[in-house]
Amino acid sequence: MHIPDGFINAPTSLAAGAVAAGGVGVSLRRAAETLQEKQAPLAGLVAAYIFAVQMLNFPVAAGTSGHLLGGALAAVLVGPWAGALCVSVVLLVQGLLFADGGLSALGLNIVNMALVTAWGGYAVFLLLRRALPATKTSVTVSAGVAAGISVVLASLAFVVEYAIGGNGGASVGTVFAAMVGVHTLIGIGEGIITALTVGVVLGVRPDLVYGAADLQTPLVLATNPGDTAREAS
Amino acid sequence: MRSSNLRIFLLGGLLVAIGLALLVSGFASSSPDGLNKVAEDHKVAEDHGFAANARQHLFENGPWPATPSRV
Repeated sequence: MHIPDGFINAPTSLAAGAVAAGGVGVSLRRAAETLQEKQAPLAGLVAAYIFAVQMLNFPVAAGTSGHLLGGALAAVLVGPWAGALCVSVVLLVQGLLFADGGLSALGLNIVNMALVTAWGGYAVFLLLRRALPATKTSVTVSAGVAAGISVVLASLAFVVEYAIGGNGGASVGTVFAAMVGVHTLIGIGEGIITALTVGVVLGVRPDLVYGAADLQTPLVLATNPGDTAREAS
Repeated sequence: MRSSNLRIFLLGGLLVAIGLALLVSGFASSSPDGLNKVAEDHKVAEDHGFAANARQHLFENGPWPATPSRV
């Protein structure tokens, strides 16, 4: 859902650029405060993974495809702040080097696909986690459902931008219906990819998953009476 | 022990990402994605349409000459 140049007028694009810059700034500050040392390399891996999987367009309906946005996935794995940064970096590289998403629309694209999906997706994830039991399965399911909803939220963000500064002739209502309809389908794909990925990471290194940090039971040194005596002797 | 595990995990993850990019991307759908499809379908008029307003990217072929561009 990369917006090309010319879809949204210049003032709206500029305003979105300011919002994106502010959001990235907040994310940088908060990520520096909250990101654990062992999660820093994971954030790099998450960005690389999202970059790769975004290329894998899957068919959703006749003549339409969709691809992973990745914000909710990144937020569950490394937190909403570092997660928003991961996707922003991907979008920056795509916009500058791969002609994917217009340069003037970079701010719009960061707002929709990095900030809305990472923050909105993580908020939905937290709500679901609260409603479900504290298990790994709940984390996987919550991540998948939140990711699906995050795609619809991103499409709604586009509709708002179109309503404010759209250059096309289509009515806002038409664009709303079409965008939400197709992105509900794309959201199903996003949810499946996100749940699979989170499930694998939870299976291999659950301690690295930011959104499952509460499941970590602290290591307890279990000692039997007499152990120290045996050791001493 | 723990840090070498992390290294293996990161290396494995990177290999998965590279594998997906190189091997699976050939099977990716070439249909327009959701936003582009909506833009195409709701061309209200040839020159006032939604998709007709998309301008060519400034770096259509990358910032340097002859870079393979993603479709």
